[in-house]
Amino acid sequence: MRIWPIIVKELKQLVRDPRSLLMNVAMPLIIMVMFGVGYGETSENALPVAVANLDQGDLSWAFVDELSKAPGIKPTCYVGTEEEAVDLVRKGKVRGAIIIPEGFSENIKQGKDAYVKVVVDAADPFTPAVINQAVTSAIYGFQLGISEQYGAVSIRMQQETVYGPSLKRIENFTPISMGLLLHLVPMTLISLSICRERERGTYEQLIMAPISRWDIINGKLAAYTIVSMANMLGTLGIAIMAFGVRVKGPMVDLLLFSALFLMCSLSLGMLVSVLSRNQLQALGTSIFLFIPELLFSGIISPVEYISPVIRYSITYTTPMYYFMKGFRAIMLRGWTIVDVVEECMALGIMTVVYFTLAIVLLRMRLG
Amino acid sequence: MKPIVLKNVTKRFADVVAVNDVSFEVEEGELFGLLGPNGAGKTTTIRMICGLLRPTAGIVRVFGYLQPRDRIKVSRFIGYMPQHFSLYEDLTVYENMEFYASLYRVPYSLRRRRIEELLDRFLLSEFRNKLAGELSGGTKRRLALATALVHNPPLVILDEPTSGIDPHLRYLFWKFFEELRDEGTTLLITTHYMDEAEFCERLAVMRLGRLIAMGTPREIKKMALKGELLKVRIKSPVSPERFLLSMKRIKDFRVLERNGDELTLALLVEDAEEDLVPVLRELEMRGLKVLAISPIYVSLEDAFLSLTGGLD
Repeated sequence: MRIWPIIVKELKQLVRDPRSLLMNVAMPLIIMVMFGVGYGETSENALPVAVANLDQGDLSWAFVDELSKAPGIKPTCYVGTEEEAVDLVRKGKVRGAIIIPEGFSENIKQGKDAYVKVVVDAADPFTPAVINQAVTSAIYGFQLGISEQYGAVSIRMQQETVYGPSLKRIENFTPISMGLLLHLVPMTLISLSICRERERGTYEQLIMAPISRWDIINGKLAAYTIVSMANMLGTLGIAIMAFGVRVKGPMVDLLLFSALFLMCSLSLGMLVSVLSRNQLQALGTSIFLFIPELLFSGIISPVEYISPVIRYSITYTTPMYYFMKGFRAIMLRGWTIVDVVEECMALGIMTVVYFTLAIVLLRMRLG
Repeated sequence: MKPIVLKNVTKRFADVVAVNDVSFEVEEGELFGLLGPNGAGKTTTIRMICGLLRPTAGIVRVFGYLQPRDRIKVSRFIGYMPQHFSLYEDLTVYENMEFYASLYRVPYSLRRRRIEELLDRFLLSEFRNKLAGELSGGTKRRLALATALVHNPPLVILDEPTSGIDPHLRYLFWKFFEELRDEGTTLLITTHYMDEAEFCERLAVMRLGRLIAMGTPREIKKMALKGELLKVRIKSPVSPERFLLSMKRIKDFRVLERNGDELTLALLVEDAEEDLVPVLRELEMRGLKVLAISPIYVSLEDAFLSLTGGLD
């Protein structure tokens, strides 16, 4: 058996390369812990909804009670008219609205069918399902509660969407694929760029030339921006022309916003490159940075479900969160860039921070 | 302003002192060699001169500019060829040269002509559209040298330009270097080949991070042996050993060969050329018949081995 010496040698090499060890062993642990902390406690975390109780009867208030106990949603606003409720959804203050029509209590008491109206923000792919489920469970609980007194009553759920109603699946996934395209891809590519020069030895000759750190960083950023913008235009073009994806907001605003996000991704990638010793490390770091963004930026689940610890420490510091929010708003809701000025500012600040750090930390020396 | 001035330069990496208190100056138009075995600190010294490393202590000046502080100002005066190929393997020969020509701001109108000139001079014309990664070792080396010269720098620094290339190309390279020197360029070249070092006008010899000798190749040999050697063949009925040491000009001697009454001796004198005739006269005055006398050629390698004790 010659396998044993190889096992020993491999283990020795693994232990002597602490950075790789960190990647291989610590990364899954860290991610699992983040995931657990982020999504572990479910009771607190819920989507905000508005409730309009137009009925104002005793039974309708009992139903509102059930709604507030329903898992996954949390009534945060109580309004007097349907228009107000829908407006809150449209402005993104709440994820959905539940409207209890006039005559709700009366209909039940007379043994007639009753219904509630649910208006959801379909610009987020998870919202409709979550809210429907919550309302369904509230209706079930409500029916159970009144069955002794009024017998079995049928309560229908009438669903409407804002920014819908017929959002195609691909339209829901376009922001996600654009997020990947404008983030993971350029970030990984540019993160290799300086390490590659170091690893292949070309850096020694390059920094001998009369150029400054600005020249190196800006030159590389510009080149990768051109490539990624072309890539983005192509992808968006295919989505629109071949798959009929609709962009409700102004196209120029969408492109401007995307370009800003791209600059942020590239600056972050550049920072990774400046800090990494070799290409493998840069690649590992890019992926390591990307995983929490994937988990906690609203791609796989609404951010309201994330525990405050992770939400404030990770979600609100990742560019992806602001991109998903802004891009969805412009593309699916038809907002303009002015409506997403907060997201623009967040991305802008991050870009400046990453860029400045990259410039400051780039070593114009060897060793 | 002297092209290169090093004053008490030390470079420490973690627990290793790579360069230890080294001082030397390179004069304008000189072909200066930095000689030493691997690990002597030659590359580290060169990188500090280029501004690629910051000295732990001491001062490095290039044309009066302080390195690495004035790196950008001074870099256009330096043509640098690192030890390992460090151009872009995924660019062609021409593209690599053009890239560096533009980085060094060679005026657009001159660029083409300058590159063509260098392609011609370094026999690269036929490879101009080949990717650098596809070139053979020797061709890569020529490309690296051509690229280092693309901005016509007054100071050229070459780190082991000839290590691992065939003798023919080595010869060619040294011809290039001498041509460059004749055109007025200052050259600093590191090598561990003793035979090459003979071509340098002045040498600094390094060992284990320290400068152990400096001067012309002849001065270094002289210093190593504490003099120069004469080879004498004499016919003598008596043994001359007794009075050889009493002679004023002879510091030491060794019998190389004894054949009856014919002896071949190596004599250590101060200056082989100057002392030849006086020594000849004195030997004859003492009644010895001198059959032949000539200076012994000592190679730098012999000198180096005696300087370093032969072990490294």
